[in-house]
Amino acid sequence: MVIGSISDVDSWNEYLSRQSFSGNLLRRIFLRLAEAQGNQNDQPQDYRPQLAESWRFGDGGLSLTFTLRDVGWSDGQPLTASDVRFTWLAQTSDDVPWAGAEAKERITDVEVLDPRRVRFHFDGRYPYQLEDAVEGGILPEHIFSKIPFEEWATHDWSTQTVGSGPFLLHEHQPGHQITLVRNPRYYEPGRPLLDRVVVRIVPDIGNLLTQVLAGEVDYLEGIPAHDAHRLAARLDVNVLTFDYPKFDYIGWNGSRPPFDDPELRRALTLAIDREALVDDLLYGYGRVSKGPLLSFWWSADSDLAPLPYDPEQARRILNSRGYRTVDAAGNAPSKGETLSFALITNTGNRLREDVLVKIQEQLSRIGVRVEVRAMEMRALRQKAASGEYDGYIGGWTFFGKVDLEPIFGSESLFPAGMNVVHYRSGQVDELFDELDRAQSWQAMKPTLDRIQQLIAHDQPYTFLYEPKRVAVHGPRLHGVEIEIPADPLARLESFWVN
Amino acid sequence: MSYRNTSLLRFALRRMATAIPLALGVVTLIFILMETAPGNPADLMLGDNPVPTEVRERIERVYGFDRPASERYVRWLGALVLRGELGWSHSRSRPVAELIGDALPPTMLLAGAALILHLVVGILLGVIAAARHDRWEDRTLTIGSVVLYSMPTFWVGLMAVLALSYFAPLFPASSMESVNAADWSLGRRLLDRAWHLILPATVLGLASAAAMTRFMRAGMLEALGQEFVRAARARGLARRRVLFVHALRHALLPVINLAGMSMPVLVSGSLVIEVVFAWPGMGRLTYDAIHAQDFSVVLAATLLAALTVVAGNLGADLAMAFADPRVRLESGGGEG
Repeated sequence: MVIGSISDVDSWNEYLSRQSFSGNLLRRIFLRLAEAQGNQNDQPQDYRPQLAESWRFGDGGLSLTFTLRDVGWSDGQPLTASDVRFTWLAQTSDDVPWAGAEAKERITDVEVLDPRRVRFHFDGRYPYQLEDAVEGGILPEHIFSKIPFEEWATHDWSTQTVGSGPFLLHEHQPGHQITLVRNPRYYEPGRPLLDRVVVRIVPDIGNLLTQVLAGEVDYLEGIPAHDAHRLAARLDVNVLTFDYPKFDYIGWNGSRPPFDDPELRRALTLAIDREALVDDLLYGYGRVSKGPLLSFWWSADSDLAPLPYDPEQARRILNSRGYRTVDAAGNAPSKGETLSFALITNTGNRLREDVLVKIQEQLSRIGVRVEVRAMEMRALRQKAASGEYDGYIGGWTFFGKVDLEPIFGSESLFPAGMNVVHYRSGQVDELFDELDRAQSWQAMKPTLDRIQQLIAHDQPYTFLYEPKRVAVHGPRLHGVEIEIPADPLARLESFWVN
Repeated sequence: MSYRNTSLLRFALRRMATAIPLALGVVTLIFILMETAPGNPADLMLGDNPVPTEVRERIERVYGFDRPASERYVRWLGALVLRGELGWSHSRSRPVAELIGDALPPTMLLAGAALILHLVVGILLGVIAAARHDRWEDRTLTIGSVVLYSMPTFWVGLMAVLALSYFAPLFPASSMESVNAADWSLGRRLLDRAWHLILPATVLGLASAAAMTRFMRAGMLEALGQEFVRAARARGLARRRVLFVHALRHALLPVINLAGMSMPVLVSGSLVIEVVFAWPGMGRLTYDAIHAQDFSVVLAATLLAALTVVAGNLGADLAMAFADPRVRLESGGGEG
């Protein structure tokens, strides 16, 4: 099987890698104690046993004991509780720059009870204990402990070929090709079905699509909406669409008048036809975003409706603020000054650049003048961080559990956090504290709903859209099932070719 | 050793000595430019994923992004001078020397093949156009070369893929070798590599050959008007001999300089072609490193390119001195 990818693997050590594609391949090599299953539509992430055959909470919910399967590493060494503890030491080491280290913050110790039993201790009860405990692939201590943690960041891990998953790294030619081969010691009988998986790294998506159509590449994901729209009509390829944990938004600079006025931000959202953005620019591959949590998640407030497209109400709000607006015919019945501002986004993202222009046109219909500018990503980030902007189009992608406090908390203003829109709400801050004290997801839900309602009311962001992810595969590939949106290759072991 | 050879050697040594401060200057300038660019490599590593500040700070500390720019530069330069090390690529998690070792041969193969095509086709068509001056062959070649030269290389590349990989699948759309090439015999692997090379090398070579054709045509027309060519004709020499021996030899002298100036592309790569054909060469490596603010890779690639510029110019000057007895190499360099 040949997978096409526009990006290369940045590291073969999961705790140094920061790319989602690298993580997707590494998860096929290093198994977790338990693996995520299903989506998060109706309830929080559910888990099924992977390296652990069972688990049980104890000490009034302050400890979690896993019993491991009787499995081994691909080099024949047994996989033991000691590997689990070693992995936790690596995950929490100050010398290992793991981007997901926050997941282990509340784990105080990992205790080896015997070779097949390991116990996680927590500083308190909270809803994400299992999720935090199983986050991250278990590493082979007998291989990885040979390199001190302080040397991990400058060690070449591409020569390391031991694993526990269905596939093993065979060869990585940077910028060209990655070859994974079947792990003959994989614990699940009859899996994987493929002997070899080859990843072709081609930086141009157009070229990759040509290769899919020519039968040279079997599987490709991340297809732009306009290409997906074109491919959907073809009979020689299969197009799969699935929800993806990402949304794009306009961040308004709440430290700069007039964007410090929630009503004015609300007016701007009301004047943007987001349905049209989804229909015209995403070709229907997405949905209008209504708040800070993705609308297909269990945690989203199902009663929260996206603000409608209502230019008339937007005009009324702007007029009440002393701004001059124009009616649908382009006449200017109201007096006052014209609201004009700059809207920026990053270059290299064609969708966002198109959205920028479309929004400029939509806002001009009510008399708002927008100067649009696309700039290099680093320049955009610097402008956002320094507060030298009116509004910017950005996006968030969420892997793992979602914490809104670093984005909307008053104590998370940049550089302490990622609240670059200077959003401050005492009520929302109190609710964040309440969330920290919740012990189950059922207890969290009403608080989460209230947070979403307050943020949606204040509109620090204009929540634009949640694009769907599109994958395409050729006719000879079978068994393709995308169960977990953030990890489309989760069922790679069940893919097969004829 | 003759006086002329001694003079050439002295000239070459002087020129090589100037390469060190030149390369150092270029590398320093590139470092300053990268440092003055906005942003931080840690931001680029983390992308759109929200992470706590402590995690960001840990990444900055482990990779040394929190150190002053001057310290990072001195460390990099010190490792290069004292230990011959090119540093560590944080974006690819590999030693820079290893990455360049992987990317350089494909670039040299592609650029070398394209350079040969560029010279052979460009010179041949230029001679034909000049020899058939103002006739249909000349006009056809002139229009053809201007059209080809005017078209963006990436577009020609994409059209070539569409036409010759998709509609008529004669050549692979991208990459340097077939998926299973590692399992094949050396002979089959070489043939496979050549098969993958044809399309990118032809697109790259022909695009630059168009310019060479125009250049050669002008040079040949000038040469054909010279007195020594008219004298050769008057002596009754065959037309072909006049064209290919007397006129061409004269017109080729500037080509030596052009070829020397083309040398850097052998090590720096052609970004556009490498992206369109997914050729894993230096162009892509450097481009990706610039985007990731991976300064160790960018500095090493720049150093290599700067040294090749010097070597290419030196080679061209020496070749000129051998080819044209009128050329004298002066201490300041260049021809006199």
